[in-house]
Amino acid sequence: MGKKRRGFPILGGVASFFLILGLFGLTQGKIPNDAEKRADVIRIDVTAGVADAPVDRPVRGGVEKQMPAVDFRHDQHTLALGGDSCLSCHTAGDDGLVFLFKRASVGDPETDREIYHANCMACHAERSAAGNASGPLSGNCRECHSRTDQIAADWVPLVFSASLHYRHESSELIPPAADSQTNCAACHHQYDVELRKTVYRQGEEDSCRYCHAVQPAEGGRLGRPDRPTLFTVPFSARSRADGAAALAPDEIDEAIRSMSAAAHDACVACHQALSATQERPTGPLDCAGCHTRQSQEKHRVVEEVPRMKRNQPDAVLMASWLNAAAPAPEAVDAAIAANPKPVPFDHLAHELSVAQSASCRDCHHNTLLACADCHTRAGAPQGDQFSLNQAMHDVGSARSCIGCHQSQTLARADCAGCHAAGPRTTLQERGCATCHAVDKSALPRTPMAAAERVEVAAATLSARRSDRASMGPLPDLERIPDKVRIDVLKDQYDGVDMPHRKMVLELARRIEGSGLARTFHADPLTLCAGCHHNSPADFNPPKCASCHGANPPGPGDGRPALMGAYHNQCMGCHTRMEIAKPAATACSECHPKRVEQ
Amino acid sequence: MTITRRRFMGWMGAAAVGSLVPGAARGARLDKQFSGHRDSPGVLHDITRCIGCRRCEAACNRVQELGSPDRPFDDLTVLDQSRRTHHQAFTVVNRYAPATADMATAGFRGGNTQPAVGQEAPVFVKTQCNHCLDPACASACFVKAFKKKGTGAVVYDESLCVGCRYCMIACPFNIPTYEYDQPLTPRIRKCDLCHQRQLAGLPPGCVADCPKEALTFAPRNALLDIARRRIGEHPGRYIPHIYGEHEMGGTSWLYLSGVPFGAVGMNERLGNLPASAFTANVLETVPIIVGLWPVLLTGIYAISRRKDAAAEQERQAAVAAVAAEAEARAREQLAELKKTHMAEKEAAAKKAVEKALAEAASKGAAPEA
Repeated sequence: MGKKRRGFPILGGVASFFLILGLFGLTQGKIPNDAEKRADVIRIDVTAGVADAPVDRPVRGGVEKQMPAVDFRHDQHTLALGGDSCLSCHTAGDDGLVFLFKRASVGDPETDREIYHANCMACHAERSAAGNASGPLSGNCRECHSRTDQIAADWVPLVFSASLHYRHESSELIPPAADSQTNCAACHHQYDVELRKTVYRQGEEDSCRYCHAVQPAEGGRLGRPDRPTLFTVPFSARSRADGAAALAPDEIDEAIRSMSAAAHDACVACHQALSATQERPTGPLDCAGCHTRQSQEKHRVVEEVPRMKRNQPDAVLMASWLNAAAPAPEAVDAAIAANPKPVPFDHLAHELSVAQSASCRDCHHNTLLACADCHTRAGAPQGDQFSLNQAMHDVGSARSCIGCHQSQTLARADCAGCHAAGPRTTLQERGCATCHAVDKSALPRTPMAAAERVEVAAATLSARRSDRASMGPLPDLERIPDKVRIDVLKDQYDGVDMPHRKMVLELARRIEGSGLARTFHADPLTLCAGCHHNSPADFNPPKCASCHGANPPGPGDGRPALMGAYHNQCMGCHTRMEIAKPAATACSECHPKRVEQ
Repeated sequence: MTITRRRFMGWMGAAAVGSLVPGAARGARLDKQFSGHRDSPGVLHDITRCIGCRRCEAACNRVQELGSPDRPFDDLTVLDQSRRTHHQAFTVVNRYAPATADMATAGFRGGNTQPAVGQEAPVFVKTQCNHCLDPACASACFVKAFKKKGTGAVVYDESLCVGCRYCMIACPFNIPTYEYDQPLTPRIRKCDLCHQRQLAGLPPGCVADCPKEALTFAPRNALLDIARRRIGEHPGRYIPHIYGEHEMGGTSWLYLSGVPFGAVGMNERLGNLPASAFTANVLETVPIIVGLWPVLLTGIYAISRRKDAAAEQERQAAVAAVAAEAEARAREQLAELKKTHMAEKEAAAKKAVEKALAEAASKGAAPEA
């Protein structure tokens, strides 16, 4: 009996050893699942980005370790400090608060560390002495310098949508600049190399990201021809470029703040300044106000955003060859013949359609330049070597015309029924003329004046718009078969009486409201091609069995056999168009099961 | 020929060098990969097309004559539970509801950032023997009851099977099943890619009956082309990966999916080497051990015997030498003794003669005197 009992502690000891070992292994280098998730965590690491920062190093008898960085809960501090929170920690600079702790600029690690140690603990001690809740005091090093995996950064980026932009643009709290009708200058600026400072120039506003890059590489890739290539350093390392005005052009790269730094400096400082003077609520001041999903859902959304004003055209005549210098008189005809028909681009319609879901950046990257400025005909470094043709037609890119149109047709249930059925990589021939619609022979000689181009584009577009105000009634409704009986394969199941005309009408009804569909389905017979693919649109298309052989499918070109073709076509379209009934497995709802004789 | 130490050491050295030569390819064997029979057929399962109608299961049951199932094949509530292959069901369809997040992150990169409409859920996956090009079951079977045929099928020969079920353990896809309800004649049961039907020129039963052509039967090379074309022609619809092209050294069944394969119950961590690559190195040492062990033991035995014999001989020689020496010394002593004795004897005799002579002389002198 005694012997048996002795076994358990040993067994328990061994088990707990492995258990502890296991737990230790799990926690190494990973954020544990139960880590506190916060949107406001800021890692204070004075040595980040410093080349000669002290590191863990072996010494006699062990390793001399550096304290872990501090994960700082920003919102917890603003909440605790109440009204006078900002100036408790931040100093006021010339253009608002400096979002660094108790200093105007980043210093060397030693100095910064002393600033943190002295001021953090002094404040904690002061509050503690006053009987308030306070943070760790002197001597409790590890309460701040705990392991850096205790808090998981759980924040979502704030998308500055068209709605948010409009709310700022139309806000009475943000006054217009002295010599301007608009308040754009409150945020938008550009760096003037000659003046060595940032200035606002009306009509030249860009996305912040044009200069303030998220990653250094991004700024470089999108450098534009008339400005130096711009790089920036990450927020964490060297913030605040308050010296930018005094910098030489070649030093600008280093000085431009990251998008993160610039956004916090501009947005939070403005919110903070306004909240000091206004009774009305202003923009969020705490981290969670912008960077949690819950708070973002509460942001008021303006559904009908008026057009942004930035001198953009309503219509663009797209054809880079029209910019070319005038060829010799005898070569004019050849030059015209060698180039594609210009595209009248409806900038207004595109602007309005992206305003609902996205922004100018969806097409224009981070600039508001014209496509051809970077995407030259041959491809250039500033256009990432994407030629103009590729930039317009690349199916794989969501920014190209074709790529975006195609992704739209796949994303919308009303379109996906037909458009997701076939291969997506090839362009249909007749698609070209829909966009390339301007008659070259009617154009004046190159180079064409900008005003003239807009005129031609607008005229072509308005002609097209009146052409295609709606899909209109389908012509020759009587020629569209009402019912089609499919019974070539009947075996276990009877044939199908397919309500053919009803389906066509339903397709037409579902795309009626879409401008995209109206433009590209000018010929109502286009709708037939959703099912009657790969053959010219006609009232008498070939039968399915003409191309799809009988079952079972044999080795071949991967083309489905007849049964697979029917089922994939019908069910695929029903699924993609979100037609719930009949269910794919409800066989007898389409074709009754045959009863054995 | 006698085994000498020198000769034996020579053999052992040769054996050691010989075993080092294939050892140059460390770890898994790469030099002897069997990549299937040329142009052997396979099946491409396009998971995006499967609607979970279970007609493949019904067809399999019919052509393999597996007996009536517990629940009819048109009862789709069966899909509410996850199932695996069974000795009366060589193929099963399972339903998965992969998280939309998986699709958004994995399959829809590049160009279109949104998942294709209609791909949200559910997803159906047919499971059966994947007919590996270099099958794990066959590599584990020590009686060669599994064979990879030219039809792509991995077929099982029950007449050879000893019922060890190593194949069930070896299979990375958990496919072979066992007739536990047959106490006397249990067999391993699994899909045989309708080997017999194929020999008759027919496609596998499941393929023939699939109404959606979610299963395509063709030479494996052609299937790879078809699969790649589908991925290329429908960017965003498929994960750009053909499951089975390389997994476990390649399988005759290939899969296309719109969601990560891991999200629909398929093991994505199998690696690209066939099972045999991991066992070949170990197993090929077996003949060496079997061949060399007797030689080694015999050699050791011979050496030890020889050593014993030599020791005995030496001992005997030593004993003989000692004995001879002792004998010689004894003989010497004896001779000396004899010599002494003789000398004493002679001296005594001489003395006696002298004494007698003296006596005789005194006797003669006295009368004379």
